[in-house]
Amino acid sequence: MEIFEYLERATHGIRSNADARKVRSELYAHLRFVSERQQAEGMPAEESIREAMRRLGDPDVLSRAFAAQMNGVFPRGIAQSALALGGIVAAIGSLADPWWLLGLLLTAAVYALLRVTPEERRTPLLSLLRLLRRHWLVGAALALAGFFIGSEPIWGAGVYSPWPFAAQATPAGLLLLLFGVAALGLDLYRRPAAAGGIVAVATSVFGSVSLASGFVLWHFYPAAPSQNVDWFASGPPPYSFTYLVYQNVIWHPVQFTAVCFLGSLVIAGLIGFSRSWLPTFTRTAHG
Amino acid sequence: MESLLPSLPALLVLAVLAEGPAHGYQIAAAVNEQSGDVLDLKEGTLYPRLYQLEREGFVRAQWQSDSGRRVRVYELTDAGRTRLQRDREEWRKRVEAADRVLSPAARLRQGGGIARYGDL
Repeated sequence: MEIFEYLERATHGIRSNADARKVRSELYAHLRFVSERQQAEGMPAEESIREAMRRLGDPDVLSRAFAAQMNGVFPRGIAQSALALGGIVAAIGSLADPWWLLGLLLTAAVYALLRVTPEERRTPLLSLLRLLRRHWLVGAALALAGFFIGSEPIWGAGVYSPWPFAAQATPAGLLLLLFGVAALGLDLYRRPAAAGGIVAVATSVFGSVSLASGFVLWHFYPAAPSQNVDWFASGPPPYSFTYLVYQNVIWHPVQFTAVCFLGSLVIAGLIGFSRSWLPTFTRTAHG
Repeated sequence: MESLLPSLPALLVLAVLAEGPAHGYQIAAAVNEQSGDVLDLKEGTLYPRLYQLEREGFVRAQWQSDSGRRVRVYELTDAGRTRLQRDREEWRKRVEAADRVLSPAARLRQGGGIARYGDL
């Protein structure tokens, strides 16, 4: 067995591609260290690699051990992300209704409970930041889209608006955004929960930026271009502030999360299916 | 059921890291060397164990370069130091207790003993 085939098998059970890459790099360095020490003691190069792999053990056993350690991590990340999302929703909701502050207090209490555990990595904020740092493109794209949608009072102000094209292009832009998220989500195809989690986090940014930017623009715009701009405050029922909170901060994130979760499940299933039917190709590809 | 002894591999890893940051290969080599090759830390179980300790917050890791090669260097966290101290004390206490059971001479030295049928 060649070293790369060994590493592939040893990390086969790890769902996250990023984690699998990390483990492969680490095991590769270990194998090279052992091999070099054996060679320094007079062992031929090829035999020293085989010896290093033998000492590291059966790659399938190693794969199961890594899977047991690493695949169970994300549900905690999901819980932490959900906590952060709840905090953001409560914070925005409290702008409209002070009773939402109770939700914010509850979120803060759960956060504090998690914070005092001895396990340093059970820190929702750190986990959220790590998640967004790794997939910052998703967060940035959705936040930008959120700003675009939130500024609708300006560019979507009816037939007199100088932005009719922008208004018409919005649905197309959203569709493209959805495809973009799905494409970025391909990196997470083996972890539907992770794909759903990152999208849930990112779309909470989407909803927050959307509401905040619309709200700020409505307040600071010097002259209302048309009746439509008051939809943040006293517009007809579908455009009330509560409706927008519900639509932007709850319903859109839930929809996007579901789309990415189901999409990842389908893609993971298709890839698993194609791998099981193409074993010859896989073996050939690994030499 | 509670384990009779704290996990020895985890204890050994934490003890090696208490002396300073090290990567996986260095940890395995240190355990073998310092134990006079009596304790052979299985290399295959070392890495999953390190990831478990990292996940639990007892060690943290960062990529560094060693001999022109990228390695993940581990170091103890404060929680790891606390756990090491706790497990070390627990280990000593339980090993001494087990030794008293396993070694009659040690038990007699300490004035203990098991009352046998003939003694009653």
